[in-house]
Amino acid sequence: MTTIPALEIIKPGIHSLIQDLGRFGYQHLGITPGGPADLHSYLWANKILSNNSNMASIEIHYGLMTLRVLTDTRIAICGAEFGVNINNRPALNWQTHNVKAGDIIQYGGAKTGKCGYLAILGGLQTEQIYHSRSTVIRDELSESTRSPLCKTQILPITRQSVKQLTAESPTCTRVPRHYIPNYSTTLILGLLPCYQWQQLTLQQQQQLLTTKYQISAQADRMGYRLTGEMIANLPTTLTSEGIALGSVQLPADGQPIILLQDRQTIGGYPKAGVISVLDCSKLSQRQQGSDITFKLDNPAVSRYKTQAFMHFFNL
Amino acid sequence: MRYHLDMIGYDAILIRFTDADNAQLLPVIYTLNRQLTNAADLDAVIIDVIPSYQTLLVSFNILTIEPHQLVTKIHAHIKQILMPQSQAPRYTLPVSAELLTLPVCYHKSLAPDLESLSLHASLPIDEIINIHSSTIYSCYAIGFMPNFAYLGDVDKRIQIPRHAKPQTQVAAGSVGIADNQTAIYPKASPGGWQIIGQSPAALHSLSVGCQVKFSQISLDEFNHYHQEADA
Repeated sequence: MTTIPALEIIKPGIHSLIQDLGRFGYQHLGITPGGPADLHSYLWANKILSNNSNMASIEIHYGLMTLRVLTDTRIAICGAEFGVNINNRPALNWQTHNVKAGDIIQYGGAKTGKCGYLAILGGLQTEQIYHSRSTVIRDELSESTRSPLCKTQILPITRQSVKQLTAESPTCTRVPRHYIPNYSTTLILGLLPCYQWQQLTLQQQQQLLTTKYQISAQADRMGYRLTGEMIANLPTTLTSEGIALGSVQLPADGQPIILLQDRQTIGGYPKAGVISVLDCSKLSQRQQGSDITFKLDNPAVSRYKTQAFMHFFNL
Repeated sequence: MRYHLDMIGYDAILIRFTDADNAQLLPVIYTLNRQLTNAADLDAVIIDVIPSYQTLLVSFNILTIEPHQLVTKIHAHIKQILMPQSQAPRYTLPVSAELLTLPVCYHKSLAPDLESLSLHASLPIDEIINIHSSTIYSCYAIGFMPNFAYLGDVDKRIQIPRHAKPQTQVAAGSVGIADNQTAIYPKASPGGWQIIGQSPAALHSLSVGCQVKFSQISLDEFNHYHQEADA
């Protein structure tokens, strides 16, 4: 498939990465899945472009990225509110924009939320490794997936997608308003008790479910460390076992860590349970200092909600 | 051999074996991992299987199967391995063809902790090298970083705990010991294991259940490997 240069990075911003759905089927080799921190806004960005759900886009953490457009195409902006400008004119979030060669796309800092997605017609065609273009810095799998975007980097798209554009009508597509989340509400995470939940004392279980936690400064794509009243006398380290997305790990210091897309594949700390992929998405939009509480959730209901979500986005 | 299945959230099942030691479990976990990964009826169902010492974490696609159906299928696969109708149990480690021999240079310039291990173990360096390179190890788990394989069991005479404080940089290919485990660092990284040598075959891809042996090479041979790799 022939590609053409589509975007040039003028300013990479604080932390901008390439993400597709992630790398599946390689966790037995210690390779973490990666994938979008906020699956919800990532999928919307592809959906309003009529892209396949696995097409790679830019995941922008904290903003301050500037790009030059190198070919006429269409982009979608979704996720955190950054105040994006195209050629110094405000470009609305949660919708597509037709752009021309030479246009400058400029991101401000995050106003609400933490990360956003810039998707492009046909998806970015950066190099794949283990069937994914997702950047996982820690895994150092290949040159193109081991580091955040850098200045002067050129991102290609397919020639086919440019042809597709000329055949289509030039109107923009918006995400319907009632689907747009509010990232500044207080987040209550649904805990699905499993792993070592039964080995916790009733008091430890109650403490986890009643403590008001804050997101600490150690919160990234690997995991979110929370701070709050310490849970004492936790079970000690156990034999390493596989770690699921959203695992609520309880290390000896009694402060929970929620393990996310770039998590280690196995680990030996006790875990109280997991939160759903939809809650992981919401959590990834919360900034340092935000309040977090847990409530017990019903796995069957969570499964039903996730199934509906997957059907909606054709996963 | 006993086991139980636990739901992890709504899209993963943890298979946990109990009342057997790690060495006994390894062939079971190896065989079950292969079986679940290759089963035709689970092809569209299973996303990832993560084997470890006593567990396998199976994550699955919730659109293609109901959890209770997958639980039934997993029970059937385990039963087939542990209690086949006609023959002896069907769990075995891979045949000796899969024994990998990996070269290691134990020269002091590549082995910052070999001398302190010698003091700790009260054994001459040559004897430590001899013990480390004459044992056949099994890969019990992979994690920490891609292709970081936990190999065991290290001979009791040369076991040593991790550094109290991890080193900020361990070279790629470094061969370390931590208690009853040994491993090759597939890439440069911070790490706490005691480094007793370096392998030029840093990027060898290992999998749970495979058998590994180390063979000693000289510093000249080690440098030769690197020259070949650079050429």
